[in-house]
Amino acid sequence: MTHIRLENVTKQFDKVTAVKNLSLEIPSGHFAALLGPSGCGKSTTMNMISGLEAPTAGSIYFDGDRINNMPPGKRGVGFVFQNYAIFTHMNVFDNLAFGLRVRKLPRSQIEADVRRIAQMLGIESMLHMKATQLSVNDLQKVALGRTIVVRPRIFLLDEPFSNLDAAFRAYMRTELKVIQREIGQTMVYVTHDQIEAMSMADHIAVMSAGELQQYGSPDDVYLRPANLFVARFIGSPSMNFIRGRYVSDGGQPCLQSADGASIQLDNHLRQRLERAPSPNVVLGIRPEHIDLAPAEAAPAPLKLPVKIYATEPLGAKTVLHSQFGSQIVQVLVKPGTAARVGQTHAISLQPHRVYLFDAATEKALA
Amino acid sequence: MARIQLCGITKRFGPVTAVNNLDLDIEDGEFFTLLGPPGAGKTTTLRVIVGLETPDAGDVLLDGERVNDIYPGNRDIAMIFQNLALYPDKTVFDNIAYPLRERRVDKQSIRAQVQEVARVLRIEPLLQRKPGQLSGGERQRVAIGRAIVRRPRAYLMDEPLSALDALLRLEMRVELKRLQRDLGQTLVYVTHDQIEAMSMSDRIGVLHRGTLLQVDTPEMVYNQPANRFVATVIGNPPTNFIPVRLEDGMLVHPGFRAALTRPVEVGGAERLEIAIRPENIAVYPSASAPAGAIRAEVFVIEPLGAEIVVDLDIAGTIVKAVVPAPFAADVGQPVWVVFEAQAVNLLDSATERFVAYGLTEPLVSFVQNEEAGTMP
Repeated sequence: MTHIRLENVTKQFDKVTAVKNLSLEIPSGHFAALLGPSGCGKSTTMNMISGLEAPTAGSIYFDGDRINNMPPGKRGVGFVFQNYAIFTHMNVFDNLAFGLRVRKLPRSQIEADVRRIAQMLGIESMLHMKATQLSVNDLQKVALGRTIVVRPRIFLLDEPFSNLDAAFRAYMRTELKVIQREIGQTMVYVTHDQIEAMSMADHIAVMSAGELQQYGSPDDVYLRPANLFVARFIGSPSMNFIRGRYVSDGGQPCLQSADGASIQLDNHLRQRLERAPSPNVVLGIRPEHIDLAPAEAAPAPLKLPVKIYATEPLGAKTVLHSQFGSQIVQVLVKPGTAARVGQTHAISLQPHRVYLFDAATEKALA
Repeated sequence: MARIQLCGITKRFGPVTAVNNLDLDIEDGEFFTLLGPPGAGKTTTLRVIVGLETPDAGDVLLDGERVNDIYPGNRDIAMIFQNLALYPDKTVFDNIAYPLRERRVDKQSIRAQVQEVARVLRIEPLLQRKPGQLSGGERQRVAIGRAIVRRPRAYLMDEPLSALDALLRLEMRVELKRLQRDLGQTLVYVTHDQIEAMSMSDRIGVLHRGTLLQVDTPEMVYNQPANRFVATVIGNPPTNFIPVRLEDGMLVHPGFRAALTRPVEVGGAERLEIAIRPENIAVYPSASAPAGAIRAEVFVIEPLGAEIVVDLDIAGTIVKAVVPAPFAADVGQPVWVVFEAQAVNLLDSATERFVAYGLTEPLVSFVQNEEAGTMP
């Protein structure tokens, strides 16, 4: 159980700033995810926590102690990587017991600990199999078990499931969450997969180009994205964005999109746009917050005339790609919804689900 | 334009049978996807169609004509791979024009045809650039352009999107589907990604260990999968399987009892499983549940934003449900669960095949039974 705090941490590799002035706090026993596209600095951040990289500036604290200069072996961190490090000449039991034997624990305790972990991971029946006889999925479980069994202060995982197939990944997501609950250790998980981060973590640090974009609960980053990057990165299919300009002079105030299409506003949205520092904004709306309406003539606030460009049935739901002016707006509908390619429809944006971002700063507006 | 038929195709590599007695009839103009995990035999099937592999048994027919002995170059089928081979020193225009120049098409029609392909693929502004100056998605479009410019009889694509990043893949999915419709030519598409298969195809062939398990529309493989493998590979999170015993027309589980509402031919099967997709399970906190709801306990909660995956413990069986956010129960709390009647299918554990589907006429009715933990 360890409380991790990063204070203004920067990591420079020659001319490249991999991590820029990062401050982050992970409470003891919490599950934090570092999320972002490749090159965003998430792995570098984890390497600084583990001690494999030293920060160029700033401080890292474990339970209030500054550990910048502490060697990795002394930090008590446990690692699981995408490429599992398993001794192929040993059987599963010996692989799991390895870390305990190095620590010269009594035999009976090693036996008990290994069995407990193997049971937790559902690999008891494989304890006497050689690593080479195991499937990729089971190997990753052994790698996980080897780290859990030595009870590190902090558990660090770098994309541990990205080599595994989709069904097993979904299964391990749940397993890992249950394991973390049972062992109660602080866990830091690095991933580029927003679903992994959303589904497992207590807190998510969304990173881009070395900078922290937002740090909050899954609800925070999904419901209250701090900026365009977070809004685009969290959620699948992605949030729709319509660039536009608030036009309030002469006639009905409206949002004029870049290609000349105009969106009628309801009172609430008009007030929000009035308060915005600049008339140039990006309107954001998630595909699940748009309703398909009949293509009748009567215009209404937040109702957009569209033409169906493509339909993608996904089984549980269908994604409609609708064309508004020259932009594609994705709409999530129930399977079997009557909408054919080429037809005209109207889509209705749910008013309290509309996001606004400043077009220049890309920051979320109230 | 081509109808592609495979009749009893078997292909072995040493001791390994990559494709086993495969029968397939792909209609002219169809978007057909071969879906399966790595090693299922998808790529081998594609290579047999195009002529890069010779089958050990069986015939390949193009428009009814046996082409086993016809050289790949003369089958007039274009193949597009995951790793595209563009000429790095040639411009986009020259890359696309290459197959036409090889055929000594006259200059004027080359220009016209390349322009037309560029328009369809929306790469007109890029024609004078070199591949090194293009993004991954643009390069993929150029590779597709080069394949379609000579108007072959059919196109084969082997995981063409898997090298692209997630957002681009989404975009290209839609583009490919549009493109195939515009061209109206047969496309055989290979992928391990069920979402690609579901979203783009007219029909899907699910392959596993060299054997075709089911050939059907996306809707059918989703709603009426032939067996456990298909039910698991299509849809995410995968279908739940709940073991039950059949006793006097009742499906019995420690957590519930369900009566069969119509006769089901189980062929003497003793161990059955109720199959239900996570999106067809409704979860009610406390007493607001309708009659027949099943008692469960929340085991894990996984928020995904708009939806939440809830792992439920139904008397020892863990079942995943996908419910809309927000979800008003915590881990460890009791809840009530309702299975959508039409989504309940029945599987024979021994054969791993489905014995009945609830889609057109529901199979079961959950019995009100306080003792078994069912909502009165």
